[in-house]
Amino acid sequence: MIEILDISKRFEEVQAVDHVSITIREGSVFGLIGTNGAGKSTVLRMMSGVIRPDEGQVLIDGMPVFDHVEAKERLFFIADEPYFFANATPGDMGRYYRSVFPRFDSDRYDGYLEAFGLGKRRKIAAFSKGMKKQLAILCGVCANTKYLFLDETFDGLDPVMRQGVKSLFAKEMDERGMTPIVASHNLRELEDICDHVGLLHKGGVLLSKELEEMKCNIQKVQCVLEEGVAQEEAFRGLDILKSEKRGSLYTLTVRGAKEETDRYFSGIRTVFYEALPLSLEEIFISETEVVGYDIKKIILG
Amino acid sequence: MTSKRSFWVSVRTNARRRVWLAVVMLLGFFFALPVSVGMRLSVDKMSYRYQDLHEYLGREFSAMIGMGDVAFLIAVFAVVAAVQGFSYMYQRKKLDLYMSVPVTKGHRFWSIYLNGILIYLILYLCNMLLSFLVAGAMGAAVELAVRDAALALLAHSLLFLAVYHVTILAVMLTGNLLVTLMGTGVLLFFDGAVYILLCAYMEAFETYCYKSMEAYQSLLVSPILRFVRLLDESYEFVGRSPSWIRVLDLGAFFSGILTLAAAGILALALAYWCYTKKPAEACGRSMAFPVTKAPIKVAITVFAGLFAGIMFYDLSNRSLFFFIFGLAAGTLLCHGTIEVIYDFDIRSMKNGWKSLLVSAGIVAALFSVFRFDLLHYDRYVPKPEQVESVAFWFADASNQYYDENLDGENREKYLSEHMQIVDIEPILELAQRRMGMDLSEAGGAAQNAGAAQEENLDLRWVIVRYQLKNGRTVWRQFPTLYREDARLLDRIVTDRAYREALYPIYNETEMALGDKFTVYYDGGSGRETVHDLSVKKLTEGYRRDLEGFTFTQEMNDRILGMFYLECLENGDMIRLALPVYPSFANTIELIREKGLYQDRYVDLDEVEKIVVQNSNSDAYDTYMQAQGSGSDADIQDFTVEAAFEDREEMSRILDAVYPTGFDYVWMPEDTLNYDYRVTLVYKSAAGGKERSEEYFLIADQIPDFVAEKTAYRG
Repeated sequence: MIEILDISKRFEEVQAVDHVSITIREGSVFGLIGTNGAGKSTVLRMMSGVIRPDEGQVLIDGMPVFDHVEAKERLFFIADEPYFFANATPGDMGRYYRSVFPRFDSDRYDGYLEAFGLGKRRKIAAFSKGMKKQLAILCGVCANTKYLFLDETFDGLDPVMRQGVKSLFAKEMDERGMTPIVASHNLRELEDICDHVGLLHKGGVLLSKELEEMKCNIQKVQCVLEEGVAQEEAFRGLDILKSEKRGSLYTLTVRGAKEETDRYFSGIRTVFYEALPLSLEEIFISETEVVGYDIKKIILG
Repeated sequence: MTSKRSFWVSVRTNARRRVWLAVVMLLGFFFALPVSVGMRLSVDKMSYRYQDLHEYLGREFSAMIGMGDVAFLIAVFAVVAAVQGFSYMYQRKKLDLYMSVPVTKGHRFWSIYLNGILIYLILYLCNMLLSFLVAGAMGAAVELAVRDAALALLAHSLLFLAVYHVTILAVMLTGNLLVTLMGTGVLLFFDGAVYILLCAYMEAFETYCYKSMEAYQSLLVSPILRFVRLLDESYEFVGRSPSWIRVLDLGAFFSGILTLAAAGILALALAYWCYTKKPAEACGRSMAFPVTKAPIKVAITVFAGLFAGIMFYDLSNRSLFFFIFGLAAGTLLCHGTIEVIYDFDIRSMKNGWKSLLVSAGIVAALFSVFRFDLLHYDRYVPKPEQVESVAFWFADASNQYYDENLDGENREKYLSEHMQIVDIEPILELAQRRMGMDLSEAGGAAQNAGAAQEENLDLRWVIVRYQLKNGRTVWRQFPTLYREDARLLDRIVTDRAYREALYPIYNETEMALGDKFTVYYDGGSGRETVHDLSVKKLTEGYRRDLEGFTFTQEMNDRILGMFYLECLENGDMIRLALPVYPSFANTIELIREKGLYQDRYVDLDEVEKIVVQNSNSDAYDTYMQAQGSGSDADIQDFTVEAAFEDREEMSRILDAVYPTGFDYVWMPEDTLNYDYRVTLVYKSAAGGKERSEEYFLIADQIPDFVAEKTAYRG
C-alpha cells in the first residue's frame, strides 16, 4: 500500500502540492488526474523519492521512500520524458537496470524487446518517441517491482500499442499483482484501465475514489418539469454540480447514487426524466468547475 | 543478486558511461608523458656531448616526469571528471532516473566519485610507466627519476583530488553547467584574488606596509595556490641529488603536501554535505541553495568594485576621480551581471537593489579604510611592553646569507630568524619619529616614497620586524635620515644582536669552512690572492673591529680595501665580502703584515693615463626643462670625456677616486658624484699586462681642472 500523508511542495513562489493525502491500495490501477499544473508529476516524483516533500511523507508499504533503497526496490518510475544513457542500446539499459533492480528479469526483457520489435542492439537515440516510451515501459515491467509509476506514459503510443501495453499491464497484475499508478490528463485512456482515481487541482486533492463509486455517485439527469412546477422548489433537495436549461429541458449534474436520484425525481412532477451515465471526463469537468476551473470562464473571462 | 549490486559493480557500470572521459585523459597523458619524453630526450641526446650522457638523460627525464609539467593538464582533467560525473544533476530527466532507482545517495556519490579518481589514476600510472620504458629505451638512467616520479605522483594526485573536490562542490552549489564552471573558477581562485587585491590596496595606500599580507598566505585554501607553493618548495630538490633523505629534510615540502591534502579534504567534506542537502528541484537553476545567492553576489560584487577601482587608479596615474568612478562602475556592472546569471534574464540586471546597496556600502567602507587609514595601519608602532624583540635592517643592504646546509638563504628569512634585538627603545623611537614624517617635505615635492628617496639624499628605508609577546609578528618599513638619525642608528648598529645577525662573518656554519676559503684582498686597484693568511685569525680580528663600529663611522669613513673569502662547497660558491674601514685596527694590522697596505687606492707610478667621463646631468636636466616633454634630448649626448697624462694632475685625480667595486650604499647620496666615471689605464709593465679599472669621484674632492675640462659647453 502506498500512503501519501499530507504532503506539500513549494517551488520558490509556487505552491505545487498543497497538503495532499491519498491512499493507494495494491492490485488496482490508480489514475492520478488533474488540471494543468495541478501537481500530478510533482506528486509522482515525490512518490518515487526523486524529490523530498517540504511537509508530510510518502510511505511505500510502510517505509518512507526518500533515499530508502528497500522502498525504492518496490517501485519503478517512468517519467513523462524517460531518460536513456547517451548512445545506449536497449541492451545497455537492460544491463543497467539489472544492476540496480534485484529482480530485473533479463529473459523476459529480451523476449519483450523482440515481441515489440525493439532491436536490442539498436541505438535508442534513433528510436521514435513512441518506441522510447515502449522501451521505458518494458524496462519498468521487467524490473518486477510491485508498483509502476507512469507519468503521461500513454502519450505518443499508437492505439494498437496502447492496447498492447494495457494487455501487458493486465497480465502483470494478474500474474504478480503489479500496481500501476498512472498520471495523465487523457481521461479516456484512464477510464478504460483505472479502478481508483485521484483528482488533483491547484496542488490539492479534490477527490480520491473508486472509479465505479465515483461514477455511481454523480449522475447526469435530463428532465422536463410539468407546467406550473417551480424550478427552485423542484430541485431544492438535490446537490447540483452543474445546471443547464435549453427551452424546457433541464440538464443537471447531481451528486448522489442512481437509485437515490431516481427516487427523488419520482417524487416530483416531471414530463420527462432520464438519468445518463457520466464519463470520467464529464466528472472531471464537473468537479473542477465546482472549484472554479471553468473553461468558459477562462475563455470568456 | 547482492554481488551484482555491490559498490564495485556500480563503479564499473558508471565507468561504461564515461568512456569518452577515459579516452580524453588517455590521449592527454599519452602526448604529455611518453610522447613528450621521447621527443625531448631525443633532442637532449643529440645536443649533449659529454661522457655522462646516461646520467644526464636520467636527470633530464627526472625533471620531465617530476612535478609541474603535467599539473595544468591534471587540473583540467579534474574539472572535467567532476563535472561529467555529476552532470546528471543538471537535467530533470536524468535526475528522475538516477533518483528513483534503488540506490542510496551516498552509494551513488561515492561510486561516481571513485570512478573519476580511478580513471585518472590508472591512466596516469600507465602513461608514467610507459614514459619510463621510453626513457630507458633511449638510454636514460631511469633509476635517477624514481624519487621525483613518485613525489610527482603524490603531489599531482593531491592536486587532482583537491581540484576534483572543489569542482564537485561547485556542481553541488549550482544547477547549471555554465554557472558550475564559473563557480569552479571562483572557488579555485577567489581567495588568491582577494589576497592580491588586498596587497595592491596596501601598496597603494599604506606607505609603511611591508610583507603585511604574507602572514595571511597560510590562510589561503585554494588548491591551485597551494600546489604552486608546493612547486616552489620542490625546486629545492628537483634535479638535484636523487636521495630521498634530501627530500625528507624539507619539512616545508611535506607541510605543503599536508596543506594541499587538507584543502582537498575540506572541499570534499563541504561537497558531500551540499550533495546530501541539494534538492532535486535545483536542476536547471543557477544556484542550488537560494540562501547562498545573496552572500555570493555581495562577495563577488565587492571584489569586482574594489578591483575596478584600483585598476582605474593605476591606469589613470593615481587619479582619485577615476578611482571612485572605477569603484562605482565595477560594483554596478558586476552586481547586474550576477543578477542576469541568477535569473538567466537580461531584464534582471536592475533587480536586487538591497544587495546592491549592501555591496556598495561595503566597497565604500573598505575604500575608506585604506584611503584614510582608518585602522591606523600607517601609524602603528607597538608599545615597548608589547615587544619581545625586533629585527632591523636597511632595505638596500646586500649581504649574501647561507643556511645550515650552506644553501643560499633569502635575506629577509635569514635576518628575521637570526636577529632578535631586545634593546628596542631606539628602534621604536625612530619608528615613531619617521612613520609620521611627511614624505613630501622629506623629499621636496615628491608625493611617494620612491620619489622622496630620489629627492632626499639622506633618506634610506629600513625594514623592521616586531616579534610581539603575544606571538604575533608585525612588519613595517619606514624611512630614516642618515645624518639626523645618526644618534639612534649608532645605538642600533652597535647592538650585538644586530651585528651578529647582519654580518655573515658571525655565521658559524659558514666560518667552519675555515681554511677551505681562498682569501683575496682588493686595496682599490684590483683584487689579488692572499696566501698563508689564517682565516680564523682574520675572522677574529675582523669581529673585534666590528664591535665598536658605529653607523656614523660607516657613513663618514671610506672603505680602505676589501677582503673576499670564497669557497666552492657542494657545487655552490660561498662568498663573503669584508670591507675594511680606517678604524679596523686589527684587520689593518693583518693587511700590513701581508704587505698589502696602501696609502691610497692606486699607486701613481703604475698609471699611464686617466680618462674621465662626465655625463653632465645638470646640463641634461636644464636642456630637458627648456625643451619640454617629447623633445629629442634623450638621444642627445651630453657626455664629455677628457684624458689626463700629466703626473701632477693624475695625482690629484687619484686622491679623489673611489673604486666602483667597493660598497658605497652606506654613504650619504652626496658623497660621490655619479656624473663622473674615471677609467685608469695602467702601464703595461705594471702587473705584467695592460688593464684598466673604473672609479667614481668623491664629490667634494673633484679637481677644478677636471670639472672644467669635462663640462658640457653646447
